Amino acid sequence: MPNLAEQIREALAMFARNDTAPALIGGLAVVAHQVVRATKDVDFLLEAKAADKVHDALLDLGYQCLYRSEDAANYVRAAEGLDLLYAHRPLARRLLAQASERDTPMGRMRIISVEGLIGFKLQGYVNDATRTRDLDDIRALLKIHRTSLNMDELREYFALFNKSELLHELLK
Amino acid sequence: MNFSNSTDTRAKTALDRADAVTVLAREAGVPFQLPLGNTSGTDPIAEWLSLMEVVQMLCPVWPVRDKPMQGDHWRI
Repeated sequence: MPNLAEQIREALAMFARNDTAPALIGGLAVVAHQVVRATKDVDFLLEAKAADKVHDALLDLGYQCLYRSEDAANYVRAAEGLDLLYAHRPLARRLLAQASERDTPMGRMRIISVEGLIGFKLQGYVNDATRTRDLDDIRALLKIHRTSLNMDELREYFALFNKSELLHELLK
Repeated sequence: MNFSNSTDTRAKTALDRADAVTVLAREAGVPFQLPLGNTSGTDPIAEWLSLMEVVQMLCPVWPVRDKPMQGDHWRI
């Protein structure tokens, strides 16, 4: 049975060896922000300039690259998956720089802000409307963190995808 | 026979927890949300690891992404 914790520890060690410090995004970041649900999504936001060396390192670890573009890459190794988003736009670079560090059972890792996570979840949903899990995660994160969220930042993300009305509906 | 009436207590506790903000259904459908802040000493990632141990026992074959990320709207 694949060991998720061990997979993440191994990935964190690989990132450290390659002098890069990505931020956790995706389903596990949702967990880190208090919405505990079952997920095996291991997703990281990585500085774009580290894409090539991390790609080589993942292949060395036995991963197979399913897809890779300037924006994202998907890797699998048997039943384990690992996805990367590349931070090459100013917004993503800012979110990566502002990610907070946290001690976890798998080691110290950086975790994207709730607002940034909602932004990426929205991007995922806009790119593929069948990913209703993203919408559920946004709804849950808004519900839990509503009083502490930077609403101006959130409005910026929803406006970016012409989804301002959706934010309004989700906040009702 | 000696019946325990703890069911009512458990149900009330579950409802109290659900009153906070309902997020996840687990433990036979009892909604579960960690308290906000670090004062509880509960680590959500540790909770997730514990949850996934059970999930992997019940569902050892978990679907891996079978199609790449798609879309033309990469704006962040």
